[in-house]
Amino acid sequence: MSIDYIRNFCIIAHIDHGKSTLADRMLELTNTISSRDLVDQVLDDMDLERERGITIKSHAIQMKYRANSGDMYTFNLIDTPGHVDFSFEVFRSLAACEGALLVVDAAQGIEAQTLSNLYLAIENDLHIIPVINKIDLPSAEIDSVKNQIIQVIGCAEDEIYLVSAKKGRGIKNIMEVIVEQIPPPTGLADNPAQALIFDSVFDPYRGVITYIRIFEGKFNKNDAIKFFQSSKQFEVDEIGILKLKRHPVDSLQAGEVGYLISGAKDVHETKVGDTITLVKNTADKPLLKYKEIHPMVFSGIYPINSDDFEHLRESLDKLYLNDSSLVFEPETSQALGFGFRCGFLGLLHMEIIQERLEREYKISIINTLPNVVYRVHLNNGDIFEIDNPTKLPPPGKINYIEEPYINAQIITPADYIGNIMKLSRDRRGVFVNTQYLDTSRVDMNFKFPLSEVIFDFFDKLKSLSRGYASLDYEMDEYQRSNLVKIDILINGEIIDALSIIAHKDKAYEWGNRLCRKLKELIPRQMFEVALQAAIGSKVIARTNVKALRKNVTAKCYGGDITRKRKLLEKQKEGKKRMKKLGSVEIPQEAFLALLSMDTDN
Amino acid sequence: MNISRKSGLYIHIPFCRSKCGYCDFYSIEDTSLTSTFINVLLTEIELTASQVKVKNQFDTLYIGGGTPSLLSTNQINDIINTISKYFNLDNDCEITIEVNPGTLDPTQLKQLSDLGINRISIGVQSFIEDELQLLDRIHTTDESINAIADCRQVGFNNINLDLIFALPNQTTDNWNYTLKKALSFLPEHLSVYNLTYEKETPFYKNLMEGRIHRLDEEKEIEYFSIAHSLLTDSGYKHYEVSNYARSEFYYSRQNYKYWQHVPYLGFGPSAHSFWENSRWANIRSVSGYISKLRQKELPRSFKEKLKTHQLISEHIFLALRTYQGVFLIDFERHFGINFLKKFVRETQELIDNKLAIIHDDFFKLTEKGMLICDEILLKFTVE
Repeated sequence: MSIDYIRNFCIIAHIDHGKSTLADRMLELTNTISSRDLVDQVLDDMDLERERGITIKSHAIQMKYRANSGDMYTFNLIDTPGHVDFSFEVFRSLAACEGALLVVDAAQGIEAQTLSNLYLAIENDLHIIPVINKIDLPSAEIDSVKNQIIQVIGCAEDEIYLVSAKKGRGIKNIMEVIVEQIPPPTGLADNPAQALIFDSVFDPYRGVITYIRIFEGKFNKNDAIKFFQSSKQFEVDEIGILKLKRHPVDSLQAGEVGYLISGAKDVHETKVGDTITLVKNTADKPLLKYKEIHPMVFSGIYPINSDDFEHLRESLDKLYLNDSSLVFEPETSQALGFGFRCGFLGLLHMEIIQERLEREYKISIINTLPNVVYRVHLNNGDIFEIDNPTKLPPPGKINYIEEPYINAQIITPADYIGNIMKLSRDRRGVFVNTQYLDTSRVDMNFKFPLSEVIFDFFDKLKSLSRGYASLDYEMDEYQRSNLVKIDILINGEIIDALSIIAHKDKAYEWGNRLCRKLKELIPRQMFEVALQAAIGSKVIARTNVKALRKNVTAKCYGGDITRKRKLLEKQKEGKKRMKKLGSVEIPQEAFLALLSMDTDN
Repeated sequence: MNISRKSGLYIHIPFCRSKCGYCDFYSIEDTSLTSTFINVLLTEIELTASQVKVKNQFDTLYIGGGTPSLLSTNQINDIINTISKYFNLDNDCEITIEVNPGTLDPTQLKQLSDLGINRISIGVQSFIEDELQLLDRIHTTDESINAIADCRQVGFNNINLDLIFALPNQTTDNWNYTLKKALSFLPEHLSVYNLTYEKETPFYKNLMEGRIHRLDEEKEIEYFSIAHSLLTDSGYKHYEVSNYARSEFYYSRQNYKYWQHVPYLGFGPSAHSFWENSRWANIRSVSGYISKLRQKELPRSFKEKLKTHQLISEHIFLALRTYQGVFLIDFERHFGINFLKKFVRETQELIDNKLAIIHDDFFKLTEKGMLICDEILLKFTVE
């Protein structure tokens, strides 16, 4: 196959703007898949993804397209994830392409996520084809969206293409535009081999399957290969192209996209973003400068039932095989026993891991409030980082604490500027600038402490903008902050798992809120339960859960003692699903609900 | 005290003229099978007697239901005769029958007395007309009052009245009225039940579908306390969560057997038995019951042999429901376990919080503790 007939591209779109539907139509048009087989949005194949309507893991698929010219082209559509937690995945997916379709919803306009991904694409020198989707919607504002696009990428109005992916309108035209506008790959089969890993998954039967884009050289089955980052060497067991399933071939060469299976046993040996080369015809450098991804958000994960600790470890190990950005290490909490401190890219990533543990691995878990990594400067000059509030040294030893900040970009209809400014003040945001994308859409930039954003910020933003505002962020620097540790005491006992670090100005508010929320969540017990929030030895908030006053069965059913005993046994079983903190039993839901606590009331 | 370790007998009469919306005891409204039922009931008694060791001495016979007062005197006579034939009844055996005030006449009461029945349990429930209607009772308050008077007239000197409180919309005044009215008859025994919404009853369905509303918890506590104060002030002993007696002599011997792990045999559909550390129950179906017994098979729905830990759990939770509590010496002798050592943290916590006390080798709940009895029981299950 001549390299000139290959087109490698991706689709940049906000969630729900129709990326997956557009992809489906392309697959149908090229007979890659029949519409009968098409489970909606085939590119998202995890249940969780389909439910959330977001693509978490990027995949690729190959199509054969006969152009109007009569020539047969090979299209490799490389899927990109669409959520802020996964922007690094977007980056390497983009790096594997020569072009991108920028898909914008005709009714919604450009969103923050789209914009930041678009900038990444432009940075990567991708040819951009702007597409407005959902043009048949009654609420479509095609002219306004055109203006936004022109404003952002500086194209001409007639370079913007209109489609309705749902109805299949304009798709064929897009296919021709891809052929005409996206440049074919460059690279030579004889050059020292370089393939970019843009994704990898762990398969229990085959080991790691890497998804690759070959830039230079040629890879054959049985070739000895080397991973730049890990320096590990393996042999190519199987190499092939990606249709709906994997199709093995004898070799892949420069310009092609496909998969490669070697003896690698976990995804950490085959890091995404790394370059593969041949042992014999070794390239002198990798394609991309490798960037290690650091987790931003940490939370303790504990089994509800302490007997499940080993099962939890095994399950995390399995998730780790497939998720190079998950980190975890064992930790012990006085309150919760043995568990793991886990690091995540962001809140969504955290939720996904939690849900997968519960759904796929059937473990009931408790997770602690998420926190960021704080940098603690001690009086003696030592500096260290903590990922768990309980590790904060006593105040007397601390000189000052720094916390991570982010650069946040919020794109919103102008109507909500006021609301967003208020939210930003509430969350200790620093306003940077505002830029009008058109007369009604604004691109607002802020700096926020990350800790203020990991906690329901996104939901807040959505609700105060009726769902219109969108958020994207990237890490900024650490900044010094006036932070304190708030402990929660239940019946006078500090519950380590509930300690948080908060800004001093917000400490009272947080203390009150945690106490109030716990009061709601802790079922009444035999005794009154005192709840306190304290900074050091100073109590800043208190409340209590009144004692249970009545719970007695009136009668014992005419000698039917079995029924009463079974009921007691069942209730006892229910109690096992609670965590005993000191003398108080707390349902798992209490911890979960703390996570979803409404922070602005 | 009117309690013993002798065995007990229970007969379930599964017929009612009309089912009450709150009740989940097994009964049917179709009485056409009554005589067939009596025949096979006698068969069950005979069959059971041939299968269990009957050298035991029995000192209670309890005819409950359902509405046993729907039976004719002859039918009740047959039951008592058959029981006497196969089981050793004490001379002073407590023989109780449950009666519905709407199904009684003085002649029948006299006959029951002549049959040796010496304790009457009257399903009064309330002395407020509206409340009786709400409960779907078939009788009026006048009929209740007449029934009690008739019982006294005939010479019954051990009468229990069943009362229910915490009805939807029940007022404090109404509850006080019912209690005082009940007290005016000087009953020897009062069973005072908090209304419960049992699954598969019309009440439960109505509750779930929002047609009736549960009285709030504070009211339930208040009514429980009103009953407790009023009755104990009048000299009654509050000896179990829902039971009061004018003196120890009038404790319900039958019920005490349930709470004290004393063996008892139950006959009739849905009746339960506890015998040699096994529990079993009969099926909840009159027709099923009849067809099994016609084939000379016992109509069991299940039988379980209790493991030691289950016996211990039961022993504790049954004992704690009574105001006597767990007899510590007996417990240790019985199970080889020192109760206070085994539950050192639990008992101390309860005592510290005035939910329980230790008195004369008994560990027992206080009034406050009794109100959260079920929560406390969870602390004492043994695995």
